[in-house]
Amino acid sequence: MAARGRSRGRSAPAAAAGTPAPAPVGAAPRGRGRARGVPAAAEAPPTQQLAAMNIGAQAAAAPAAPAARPSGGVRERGSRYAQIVLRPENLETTQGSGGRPMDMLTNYFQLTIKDAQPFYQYHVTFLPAMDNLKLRKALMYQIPELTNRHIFDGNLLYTPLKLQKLEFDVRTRRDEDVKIGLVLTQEVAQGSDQFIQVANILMNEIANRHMGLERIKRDYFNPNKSITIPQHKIELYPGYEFSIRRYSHSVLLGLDIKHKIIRTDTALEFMNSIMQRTRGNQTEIAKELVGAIVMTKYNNKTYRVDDVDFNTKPSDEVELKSGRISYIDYYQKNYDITIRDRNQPLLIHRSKTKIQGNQVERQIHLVPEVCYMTGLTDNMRSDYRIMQDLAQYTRQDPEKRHKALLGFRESIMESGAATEKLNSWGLEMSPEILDVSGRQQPPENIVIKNGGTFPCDARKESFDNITRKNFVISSAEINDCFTVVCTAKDTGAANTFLETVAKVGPACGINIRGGNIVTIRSDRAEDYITAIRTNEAAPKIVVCLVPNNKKDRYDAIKKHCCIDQPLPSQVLVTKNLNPKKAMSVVTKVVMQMNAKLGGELWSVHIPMKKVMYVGIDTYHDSGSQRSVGGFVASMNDLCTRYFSKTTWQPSKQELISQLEVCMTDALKQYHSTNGLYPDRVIVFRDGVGDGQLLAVKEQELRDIKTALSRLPKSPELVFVVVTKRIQQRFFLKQGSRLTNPPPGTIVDTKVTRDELFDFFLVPQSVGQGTVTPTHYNVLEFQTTLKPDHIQRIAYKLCHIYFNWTGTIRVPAVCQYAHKLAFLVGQSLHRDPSPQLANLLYYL
Amino acid sequence: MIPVIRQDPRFADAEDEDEYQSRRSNPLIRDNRTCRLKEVESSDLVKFEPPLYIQRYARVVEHCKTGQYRTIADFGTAELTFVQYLKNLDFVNQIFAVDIDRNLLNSQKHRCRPQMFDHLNKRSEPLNISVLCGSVLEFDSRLHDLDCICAIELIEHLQKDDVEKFSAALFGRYQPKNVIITTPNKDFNVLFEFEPDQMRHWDHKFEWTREEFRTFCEGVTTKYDYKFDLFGVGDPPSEHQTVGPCSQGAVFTRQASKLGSSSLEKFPTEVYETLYSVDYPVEDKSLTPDYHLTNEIIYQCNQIGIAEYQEQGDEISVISIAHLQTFPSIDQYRVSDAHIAELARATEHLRVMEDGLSILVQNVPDSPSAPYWGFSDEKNDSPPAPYWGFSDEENDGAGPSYNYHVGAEELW
Repeated sequence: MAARGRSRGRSAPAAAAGTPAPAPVGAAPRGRGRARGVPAAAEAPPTQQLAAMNIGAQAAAAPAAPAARPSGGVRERGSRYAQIVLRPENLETTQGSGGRPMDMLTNYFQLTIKDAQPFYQYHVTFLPAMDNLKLRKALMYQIPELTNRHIFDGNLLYTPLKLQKLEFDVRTRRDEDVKIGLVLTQEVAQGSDQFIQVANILMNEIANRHMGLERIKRDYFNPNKSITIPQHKIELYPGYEFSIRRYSHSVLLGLDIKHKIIRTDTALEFMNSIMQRTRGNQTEIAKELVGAIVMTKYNNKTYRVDDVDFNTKPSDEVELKSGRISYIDYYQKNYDITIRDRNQPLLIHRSKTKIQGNQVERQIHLVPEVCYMTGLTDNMRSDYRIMQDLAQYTRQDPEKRHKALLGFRESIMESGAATEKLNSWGLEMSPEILDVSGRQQPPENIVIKNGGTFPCDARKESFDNITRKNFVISSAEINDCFTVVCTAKDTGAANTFLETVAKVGPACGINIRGGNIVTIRSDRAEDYITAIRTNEAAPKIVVCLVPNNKKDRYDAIKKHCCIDQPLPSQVLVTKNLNPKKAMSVVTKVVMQMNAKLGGELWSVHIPMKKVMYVGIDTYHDSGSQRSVGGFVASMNDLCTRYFSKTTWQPSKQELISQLEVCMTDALKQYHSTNGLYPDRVIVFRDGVGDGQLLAVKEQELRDIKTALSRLPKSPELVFVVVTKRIQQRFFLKQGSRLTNPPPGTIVDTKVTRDELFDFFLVPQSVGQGTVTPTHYNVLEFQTTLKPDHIQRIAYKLCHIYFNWTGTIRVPAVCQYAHKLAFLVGQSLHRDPSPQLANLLYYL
Repeated sequence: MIPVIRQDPRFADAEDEDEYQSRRSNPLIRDNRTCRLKEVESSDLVKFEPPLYIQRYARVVEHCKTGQYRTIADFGTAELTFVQYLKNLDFVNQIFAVDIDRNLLNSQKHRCRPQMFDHLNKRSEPLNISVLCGSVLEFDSRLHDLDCICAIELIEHLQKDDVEKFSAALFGRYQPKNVIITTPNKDFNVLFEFEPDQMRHWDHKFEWTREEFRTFCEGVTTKYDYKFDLFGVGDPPSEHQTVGPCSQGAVFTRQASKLGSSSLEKFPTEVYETLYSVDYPVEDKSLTPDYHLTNEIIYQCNQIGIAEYQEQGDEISVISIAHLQTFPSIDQYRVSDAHIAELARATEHLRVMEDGLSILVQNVPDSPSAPYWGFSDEKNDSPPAPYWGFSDEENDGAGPSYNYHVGAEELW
């Protein structure tokens, strides 16, 4: 009696929308979703090739069009869980031994199968052949022997059961008899790629189905435990990011605590607020909304706002298949939603869909009243109140975080269905997170003037107090050769600046005093540029006092001073010169100016000489489809002088194509500075995703090697990929308490991977929350150095970034490369003048 | 040991042989099938927009709205599609989605869980949705005396002989205050140009003309204490008015306001298996308008403040309360300027000028150490410490004493 025709469709509200789902962000064909659309050949023979394919995208992607994709991504994308060997060959060990050993915990649960019972992989055939993937999946539920303990992608079946019977008769709902035949293709052993995949699928199901977590992109959140921050119209959903992988120790479930920031204001409220604030400025509204992602109230979909249409209102009519209907009536009829504000402007979302193979752009109008805003705006990010209130919840210290991690396991244990699912596959999760040992490197001494040293505060890893000493290794001869450009209104501030400079500069050992002021009529960018161009004082550096952070003015000044008239420049917001903080700000600025003109601030002691350290990072040009690569190489043993170059790559490509040229130029420059070529080249490459490692190894590394091979004697080469955004966290055991590991902590066991030469380094300390280590993945190690050396070098290089009197998260060369790529990508959009190549003008 | 293979896969989930056999032999259950073929509800001659099934749901929802039904059961819920409509009604407290196909329900039951927007857009009234597996012929006390039971396009899937049992179960035992039944109107089929005896769907056992449906309804009302009103969904084209609507339905209303107390049904018997049950997020009613208004004031002041800070570098913004009152979100509370000043004074973040006309909001933190990297060349550096300079380290006494074993250093 309970039968209703399926004619009603599966999802009435969605079907009625007439609005297509936007393509998922970064619609790379990966993950499980892709496989659905591709009907696999029903009766393909269970060859070895088939058996090797996995449940996920591989099954679909492998035969589809592997050649069409850019090289590199293919293999990684082709099998998310297959692990490529990137470890340099012929290495005795990838582990170091120096430093003070420490006992720590890490955010991993061990995952084992009871009695090491394998899973079984079967290839499935249907007779007659069933084209419909859904139907094939549904029919599997009719095999009683499986007792729902299976994962089936349409071709391959995984189950923990060894089946005695391999042929089954089932019947579709339309009373067609179907024979299902199974062929055992392989035993899936614990730790194999397929095992990892099955475990991931199971875990995702458990999170989504049994723990009541909501999936947002790849992470899972719990809206039932939301935290409201009403004064900012924000809710926080606590959640998890997890993935199961094989590590050198065993198969581990990596778990990280995450918070999803949800905004509770609708686009209409948000627009009204801007409207009132700016007194009806439509450009301001468009500026704040374009690019924002909104979520509709009625169908849980998200759309990117591409435009705001101020000429259309909800009471206007729109042409649908069924005829003309007003937006108001449409929402009333289809969703039973009453639009209250009849005069609000509409949001526009554009999406590209393929209709019969042709790209067609579709435009969707959205009513702001029924759209929720998502994500933080730039304004919100710069609001200390919001960030402070958020930090209270999102920055969890090790104790809290540990508790939350165990909470994940507890909620699995509490849910009967989840435990049952794990048990039925024989999976076991360790009760406590994983023990791991680490080693703390000794703290570094900062090398200052005349070879003196300055101790680094061991706990904070900072040396703020260095500025109280006459410390600078070498000063640029600035003297009075600098000009301050400011509006007439700011001459007072400019004078304060000059006075303070004369006080703090020489105190640090920087030769700077005097300087002249040029006043301009307005704060427009052109006035600054004219003043710089026509300035007869011929300064070595120009300081622009600007009233605010306006990006276009900053960009124009930088463009002029980096390209048209190569001249180091320093932009400073006037409000920072207020009496309260003038001293500390000007100290920083003077140090920065010194660095920009080639002065050397401080260094660390590295016994090894004749090494060129190279940093590489990429940044996507905000103005075009290109991305820019920053290349920075150290030119002396102290690591205080650098050569830099930029390269351009087409559309969003992270890989750098002209590395050979960059490297050759850097080596030439090294030779002309030092009279010899370096014995060793150590490259730190930032900004590479996991999926591009192979491509980096095959392309960038090859280019660098080509450049090196042209030298009379090819230097030793070490190539390291640096990753900041990682899941791993470490908690130091201190008695019964857990704290952050101290700066200098190295971990190179258990959570590293067999197929890589990798290690983790905690270079910095944080006041709040849990510190995130930095991951180092050594792709090339043609050297007589030992793993200990590279670990220590990485740590040492974190100390010598001139904009920060302390350690930073990545080696200084990486941060310089980032600064360069950022400046070029954000402001210049062109190559800077080669005349500046030996200066740190991009600081 | 290999379990006995049950030939009929639909009952493969039966607990034991007895259950399997009894379910298999029960004609009512056996004929319960969810069909995969599309039901014919449009043709070249007639097309409905929105599609008829949507119109039909909309009409039933309309009845539920008019009656303000708080407790509703949907029999033959299949993919829980109708529940998606019901759950948006803010007065509904309880929805039972009932079907007999456990596999189907198990694969669809999660559709009724709260979505992200349900968490954002919290309900004013609580709502529980329970997905139950069972037959209308069995009795489950949870469904007794509901406000409404819906059986949309269900009756025509029953064997004609079983229609009587169905009515007895529904009207005689469950005795809801209202019943809504819809079924195809056979008179309309001429417009589909069917073969003789062809029906709209392969699993339909019969289709009723308007007259036959009326007879059924009258039969119900003579036997049980109900009255009925007919309605139709999907009007025919104007030149074919005589065939009536595409789909026909009836709302049955119980006449007795109180039920007899003699019935067995008093005893709680929960025979339906609960496959899924979920409570929807409800807004916290303990929060006063002043609470909401205060948050709104802080929010708007912050927004103004941060914009002024961005544009002019103002570290403190002065916002007149009169200006705030022009914001629709504040204006809607219709309170005096003095009240706003009072609320602002009570907050941690805002200050009120002495004249009580303006609010002061501070856009930068008090601590002077904060905008350490405030100069704009530094604006996008990722500083190692958290953003606004919480540099107050937990100081746990003396620093660690180092005892390094000789490692790399000697190798240099």
